[in-house]
Order: sequence, then C-alpha cells, then structure tokens
Amino acid sequence: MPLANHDTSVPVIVDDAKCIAAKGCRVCVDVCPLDVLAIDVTGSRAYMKYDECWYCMPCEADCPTGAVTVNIPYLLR
Amino acid sequence: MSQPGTEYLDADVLVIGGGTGGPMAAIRAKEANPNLRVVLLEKANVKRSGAVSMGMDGLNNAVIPGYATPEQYVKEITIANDGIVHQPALMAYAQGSYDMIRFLDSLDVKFEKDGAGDYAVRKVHHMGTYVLPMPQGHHVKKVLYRQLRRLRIGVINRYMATRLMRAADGRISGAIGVNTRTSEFLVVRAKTVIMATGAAGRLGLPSSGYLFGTYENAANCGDGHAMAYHAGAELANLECYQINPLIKDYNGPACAYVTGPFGGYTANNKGQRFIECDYWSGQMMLEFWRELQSGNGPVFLNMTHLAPETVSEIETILHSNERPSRGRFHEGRGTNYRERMIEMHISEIGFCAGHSASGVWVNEFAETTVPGLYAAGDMASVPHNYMLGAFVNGAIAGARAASFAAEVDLAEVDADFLAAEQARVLAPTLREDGLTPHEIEYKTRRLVNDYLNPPKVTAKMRIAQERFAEIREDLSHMVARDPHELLRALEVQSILDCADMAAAASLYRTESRWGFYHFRVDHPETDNENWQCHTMLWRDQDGAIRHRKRPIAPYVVPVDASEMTAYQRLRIPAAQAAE
Amino acid sequence: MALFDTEEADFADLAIRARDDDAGIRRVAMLELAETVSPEAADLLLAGLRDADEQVRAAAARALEEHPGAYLAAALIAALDDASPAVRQAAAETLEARREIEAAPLLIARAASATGFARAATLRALRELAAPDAAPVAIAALGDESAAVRREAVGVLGWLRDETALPALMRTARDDQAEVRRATMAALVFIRPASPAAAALIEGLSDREWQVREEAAATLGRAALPEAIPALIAAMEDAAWQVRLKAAGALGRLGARAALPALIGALESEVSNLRKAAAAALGDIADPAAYAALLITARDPDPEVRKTALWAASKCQS
Repeated sequence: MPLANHDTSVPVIVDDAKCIAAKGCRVCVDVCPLDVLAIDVTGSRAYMKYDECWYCMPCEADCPTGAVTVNIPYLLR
Repeated sequence: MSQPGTEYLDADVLVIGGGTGGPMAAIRAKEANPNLRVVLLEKANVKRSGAVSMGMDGLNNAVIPGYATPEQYVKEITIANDGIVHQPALMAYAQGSYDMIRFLDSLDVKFEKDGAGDYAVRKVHHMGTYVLPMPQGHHVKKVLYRQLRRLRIGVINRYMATRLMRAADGRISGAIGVNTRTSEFLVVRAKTVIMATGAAGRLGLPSSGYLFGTYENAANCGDGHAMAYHAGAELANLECYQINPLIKDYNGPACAYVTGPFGGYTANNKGQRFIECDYWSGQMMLEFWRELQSGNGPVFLNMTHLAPETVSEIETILHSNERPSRGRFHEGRGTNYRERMIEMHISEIGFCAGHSASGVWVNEFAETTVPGLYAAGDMASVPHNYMLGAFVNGAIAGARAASFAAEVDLAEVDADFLAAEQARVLAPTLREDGLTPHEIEYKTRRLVNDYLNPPKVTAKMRIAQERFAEIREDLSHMVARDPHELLRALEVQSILDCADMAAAASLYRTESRWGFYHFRVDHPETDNENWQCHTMLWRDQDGAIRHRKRPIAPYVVPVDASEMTAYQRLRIPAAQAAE
Repeated sequence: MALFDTEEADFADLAIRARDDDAGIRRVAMLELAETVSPEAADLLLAGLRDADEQVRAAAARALEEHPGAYLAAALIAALDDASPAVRQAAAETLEARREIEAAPLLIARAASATGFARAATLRALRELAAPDAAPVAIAALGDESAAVRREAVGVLGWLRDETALPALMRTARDDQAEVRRATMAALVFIRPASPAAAALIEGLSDREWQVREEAAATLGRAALPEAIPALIAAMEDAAWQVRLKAAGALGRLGARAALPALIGALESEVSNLRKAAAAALGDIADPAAYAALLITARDPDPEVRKTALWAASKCQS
C-alpha cells in the first residue's frame, strides 16, 4: 500500500521576526502536550510540524517573545 | 540482556503520568520518605501536560468545613451516581479534600478569597455548597513543577509507558517505556507503580471530525486503561461513559460552574432553562440530549441578561484558564456573550472518572487489583473526582506506595516479556508502507461514534465488535515512518483496546442506568435487583475479555430510599407543575 | 539518564550563555535559570536584573519567581523602579507570586516609594503575607494620591482584619473612586455585629454604583450583621437585580422574618435568578407564612426556581 501525501493548513503560526529559536530557545517545542512543534532544519525558527493540535495554548502563553499564535483549527472554526 | 537503544533505571516508586494526580503522588511519596527513588515518567512535558495544562477555573467538589461535610458529599455523589459507588473511596476523598486545598494553597495555587482572605465558597444550588472559584487558577502546573524540582523528584519527559511488568509472584515490577522523539527504550524496574495517565478521551470522534479536537487533552488517549488491562488489572463500570455539555464545535467547556455563580445558565432555543437535575451527571446529560432531540433545541449558554461588567469578569476567567482559546473561537465566529447565546452540544464519549465513574478499579487506598499497582485521577474508578479528586487520590496513592516500597525488593526483568514488547512496539517501524496510524485511528473512532454512542443498541454494539476485530487484524499492516508517528501508532492501539472494552462493558450490563451514559434501548429500565453492583472487566490468560459483578461495599453513609429519589421528587416537569 | 532538563552537568554551559555577548542568548539563558534551583543560578539572575538589555532584565525578574531568598526580593523591589515598564511589571508580578514572609520588612520599608506603580506593587505583594507590621504603612496609604494604591492598601487591611484600621476604612468607604469603595466593602467582611463600621456597609447599599451596592450586600450576608436588616430590606427595591439578589441571600442568612413581604414579592420578579434567590432565602428563614407563596412558585416555568421553591416550601412546613 503506497502512501499519499495529504496537505492541510496548520493552526499554530510562528512569527519568524520574533522567534528566537536561533538563540537557543526551545520553549514552545518543550511545552506542547502533543509534540507537534519543531525547530526547522536551519535551527532558526519553530514551526508546526504535525496538524494534531488541541489548541490548548501553552506554546503561545509561554513564548517569551510573543511569536506564537494559536488559531482554532479550520474544521472547528 | 541489554540491547542497543535500551536504557535501564531502578526506582522505588514509579509514577506514570505527570498531569495532576501523578505529580501529587510523586510529591507525597517523596515527602513520606525522602530516601526513596521516586521517578515520574511523562509522555509529554510535566511543565504543561495533562488535563490542567492551562490551569483550572475552579473546584466543583470542595468539601470545606462550614459549607459541606464529608458525609453530605458522600451522600450526594452516591445519589448522583445512582448508588453505584465505593463509598469508602468517596469518603477518603471527602475527608482529604480540605487538607489538600490548604496544601495547594500553601504551594501557591490561587483560590478565590474574600476581602479578609477566607475562601470565597459559592452556593450554586440548594443541595451542597462545593464550588470554590479559581479566577487566577492558571498557575497550577507551574506550582506542581516547582515542587517536583524542590523535592528533587526524577522527571523523565517524552517517554511513553507502553506496558507494565509483573514479577513471577504477580506483583508489579516496573514498566517499559519508549522515547517519543527517538524511539529508544527505557526499562524502569520499580517496587511500586502509580498510574495517573488521565482519561481515555480520544475514544469517540468529535462531531467536527478533527481527531485532536477532543474534550479531554488529546494526549489522554487511554494508555493507562490499556496498560492496566494488559497487566490483568480489573476495570470498573466502563459502560458509564463520560459525555459532557460543551461549546459546539469548539468542544470545550463553557463552563456552567464558572458562569453559574454569576447568573449564567443553560437554556433552550426559547431562552428557557430546562435542566432539572442539580448535579453534573448522566441524568443531566439525558435531559440535555432530549432537549437537543426535541423541537426546543439547539441548547445554548445564556449570559445575555447579565451586566456587561459581569460578562467582562466572566470572560477574563474563561479566556485565561483551562481552555483559554475559547475566547479566540468566539472572536472568530463573531459571537459575544453580551449579545448572543452560545450554542452548546454534547461531547464524544470517553472514560473519565473525573466527570463520571468509570476506570481502573481502585479502593479507598488507591490500590488496583494488582499488588503494588496504584491508580489515581481521571483513569481510576473514584466517581466525580474532578481536579481536586486527582490531587487527593494521587496523594493517597503516593503515601501508600511509599510504605509498600519499603517492604518489597526489586524484581528481575523478564527478558522474554521485554523482547516481545519491544517487538510489538517496533513492528510498525519495520514496514515501508501500509496503513497510517492516522487513518486507523479515524476509522476506529468513527465506528465508536456510529455504534457505541448512546442510546446504546445491542445489535449495533455487536457490529462494532466485529469491525473492531477487523481493525485489530489491520494493525499488522500499520506503518510508522518516524518516532512521532510511532507514538501515534502506539496510541491507536490503546484507543482500540478502549473501544473494545467500551463495547464489551456496555453489552454486559443489561439494564439502563446513569441517565444518558448507559441508556440501553433494549433494556430501558433500571434493574436494581440484578444490577445494583459494580461491573468488573479484565483480560484473562488467553487474552479474552472477562466480566464479573462486584457487590457494592456496605455504605459508610446510609442513604435511605427517599433520599435516593430526592432528585426525582424535586423534578417536576413544567406541564405537570402547571396543572 | 538526565532526570531534569537542566542538570548540574549543563550548568557550566548555562553560566557561559548567561554571560554571552548576544543579548538574545542571555535572555534564553535567564529562562532556563528558572529551572535550576541553586545559589549559583540565583546569582546569575541577580546579574541578569542589572543587564543592559531590558528583555534580559525582564526574563531574569520572571525567573526569580522560582528562587526563594529575601536578598532576591530586595533586588526585585529595586527593579520596581527600572526604566523599562516591562521589567517593572515583571518584578511586580514576581514579588506578588513569591508570597515570601521574610520579604515583608523589605516591602514595608519600601511602601512609600517614589512612584505610584511601586507603592501599589509593594502593597499588593504584602496583602497575602498578612504581616501585622504592614498595618501602619497600609493605613497611611489609604490617603495616597493614586486610587490603585488606595485600593491595594484596603486589601492589605482586610487580610489583616485590623480593627484599628476601621476608622480609616470608613473614610475609604466614601472614596471618590468606585474601585476603592468596592474594595472597602469587600474588606469589611471581618467586622462583627454592633461594629461602628457596619454603618459604612449600610451606607454602601445606597452607593451610586451598583457594583459597590452589590458588594456591600454580599458582605453584609457573609458578615451576618443583624443591624443591617432594615437596609437590606430596602435594598430589595434596588434598581439593579444583582443587588436585590445579594440582598435576598443576606436576608436569608440572617433569618430575617421582617423580610418576608419583600422576599415573597421578589418571587414574582421577571428575573429568574432573583426568584430562585428569594425562594432560597425563604427556605433559610423557614417561616410557615411563606409556605403558600412558595407553593405557587413551585409551578414556576423555570426548573431551577421550581426546585428551590419546593425545597424551601418543605423547610417552611416542618
């Protein structure tokens, strides 16, 4: 059974201009209960890697620079 | 014995689950005996894991002297749960409730206080007075994490426990875990294990169709229920589902316990209150469901009659605690509590003792039926626990486990068992293609909705069992392409175990009870003669589900027949009342 | 296996990053120092409070919530005068969250700071400590030019339950700012019957702001002052139903038979929450004279009202 890729919009948005992942910050990735955030390959910014969001908001609340915004997933909006 | 990618660790007390009850169990075990090696294993990160990830907006079940007595509380929960309760466990909770509030207070958890610093307990209805608001309750997890660090309790984040280990003599001997980011194994040999893995909340599919848009924290998918089952522990009253009234589509609480003291209420499309039942229970959900089915639906949360200042106060609480994204949801819809009622709906099904009564059986000492294995919080069978119950029962488990650990030695790891478990865990990673965990989960949970949701129909539940058996065969084609996908692959196996248990437990109890939670169309009456008992479910040596009835322990607080029907006597339908 | 994200082995690296040339790296190091409870970590945070970069200072101020010690509280109190509003706010919130009784003398010593922000923050941090020595500075602060400071001072005195503060609190009960009057109504909950301060609460029932009147009625219920019964009965005619609702609750709690006509009248209110509160109060008073009216209310269209009326009727019967 070959696998298909399935694209979807992601609820969590990270503002690259504010994200300080390049300085070593991992707060949002650390706190996500569903482990859906990651740091991109360049090590410079966090992003939502998996669309498995409980829209619970620790990533946004704990982000020291206000770079993270949790939107309600489209199916619920 | 060791193979690449496997680490070993010894502990006196191993706690699985770092949400609410788990950290408290670890704290109390360490306080009881600071020399113990207490290890807390968490699938996510203790800082923000579990049902109270973003805190809690209030206690619904605070038993505070001067407002309520333990006896009164035990009696009310007995009535609310149709008599099927292990009263000694309820009493242990009620008696520990006030001490726990004060302990949490001393750790800096914020409860609402009046102008002179006394607890501002609210009376919501004429029965008992149990509501203690927490308008600044968003720091709960920070407080727990701080205490874990101060006591130097070992915290291991991002490891998912997959199976419990038992020694040759039958007692618990530890657990096997796998790292959710590297798939490396961790084997913890432990003298005692406390499970606090939360509700089985990823069982039914939310009506939005979004797999992770569950009422419960979506990480809480029944791992503990499944582990206990595979270890041979008994689970109780699983047919008593959790179903909650929630903001439609958002699928989170509104929350009546927050808005009630300010004057907000649940209303039908005519703006009228319709819920007769006082306590959050299956009876309340039956009334809710009937209203949705009738021409009076949909159902709403109404605050339009409140002063704008009051609504602002409520919004501050609702949008900064527990599920703060509800503010963003309303913003997106353009709905404002001041102008429009908020549409409500009912949640998907799950197992959660926090709100109903089902879970791994525990007695008043938080002991399961497996020696050395304890359980607390939403996954354990103490009814209507809520957050405070998770704390109190977690504390009981921690203290008991600390003394149990002093009396036993570590057992050797069964190498064959470990090898078999590692093979099971890694199987999806050995395939290059096949079925994804996501699609298997979607199908399982869609079938749960189709066939297990109440009203429960025997013929439908039998179909569910056949379809679940087919999915179980499909598991041998499941593929996981990275450690994260392996995490989901392991979770879907817990979900499928819980789905099987939900069907089997519901079929076993051939009566209707607990309002909507176990409303069986083929057996519509409550049958006290045959079913005034707990139902116990476990896995036998051959892997089959077994059931038995467990008699209800003698009540420590007598409840006479007229009190059992007190709710019914006060419930006078409008039509009848108007005569 | 590392049992915490920041173990001792990593501390050396963290200490280097806390002194990095890049402010962003120093800021992240401050965040992580919250998780390392040791005197060395606290020293790095103290240095962070004096960093040239305001974001580093703010992060250090927040991280200090996890580190106990009066000497750290002293540094946070100093940070209340930081040039950056973000740092001042972080220091204020941390001082309140620490709830450190050892810091009380330091806070008391700084309660007359130069800025209103710092004065309010020190008083807010003092409130939950309930340190008796705080009474004189709080009483003095009742005359502060800033309403926020006066409100926090009222809060301190309520938690202290200090009877010597009552004359001063009776003055703030007439403050020109509603938030101060409301806070005063809440703080007076500790007074006993026949206290002269009861007059302030009774007068509060006639305040021009409904939220102050509501708070006064609620407090009179909690404190259960019988001398307030006539005023509470009068409050059953208040324009705001929220005030009537709290007055009904207070009258029930006081067992005020004189209130029967007013409460029975409220059973016919258009506001269902008020009908329910009136029925509950009649149940608390348990006078047979209310029985007939409650039986009629037991046929109310609202189920909550019906249930409460039935319960209350049963109380009046026995």
